[in-house]
Amino acid sequence: MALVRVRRALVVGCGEFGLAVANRLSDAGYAVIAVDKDPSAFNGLSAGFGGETVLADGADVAVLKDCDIEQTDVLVACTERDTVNYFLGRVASEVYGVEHVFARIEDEDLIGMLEESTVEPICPHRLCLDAFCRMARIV
Amino acid sequence: MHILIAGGRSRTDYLVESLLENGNDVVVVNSDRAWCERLSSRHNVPVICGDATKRYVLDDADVEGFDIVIALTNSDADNLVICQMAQHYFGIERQVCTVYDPRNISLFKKLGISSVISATYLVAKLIEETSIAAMDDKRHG
Repeated sequence: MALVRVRRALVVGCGEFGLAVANRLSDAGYAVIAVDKDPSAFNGLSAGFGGETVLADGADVAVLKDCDIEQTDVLVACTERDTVNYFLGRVASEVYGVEHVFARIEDEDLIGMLEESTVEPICPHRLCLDAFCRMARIV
Repeated sequence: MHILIAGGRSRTDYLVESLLENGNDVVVVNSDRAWCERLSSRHNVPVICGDATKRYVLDDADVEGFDIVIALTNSDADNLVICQMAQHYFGIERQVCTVYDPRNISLFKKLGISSVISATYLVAKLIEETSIAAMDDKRHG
């Protein structure tokens, strides 16, 4: 019998984007832990969400350790603050060796500081601009 | 030396005073306008009102090539960003970062911040040293 390890994902910050990512990763078979400091944030998880929820401040490193960050394959930092997402991204990738780290960051200067890092920045306004240009056919 | 102080309140006031006394050039960045006004009325230093995690604010502060950045805001994440931004875009090679959570000391050092300070950590250490000293006194006294 082949032993298949379930891949683990940690989603920090459950706004619209965090919830959607958590739902999608859960659907895709990941063992997901969703973290938010507001209990009502978890209401947006889908009925089929099979992961765990942790009510805590994701910017607290002790919380990340409780969530077994060292065993996590994917970390998505998507709190409402750029600096917290930057901090989480750096720590996950450079201190805890998480293989796939994504950080939601609006500030282009912060994104520039991640060029040499393995953290993948996700920049909402850039994506909106791309979508706009595509739809409005502006090259 | 040229020193940038970002964030903080009474600590900033004291630091500016003592750094100036020792002949340093100091620039202050603080996001609280009322506090900025108070600082600039008390000290003859440039005070820039703005968020020090933003590059354009540090551009205004004109801190290119400064020797030291000291990050004193009440957010550990902001302080990390201020220190790394000062190094990345402005070539400030020595960073002093204050943190609230003592667990962030080792993390921030691993991320390349040159000095990380936590008041909580210092207090805990002081108490530990005091109690060891008291135990020694008992033993020898």
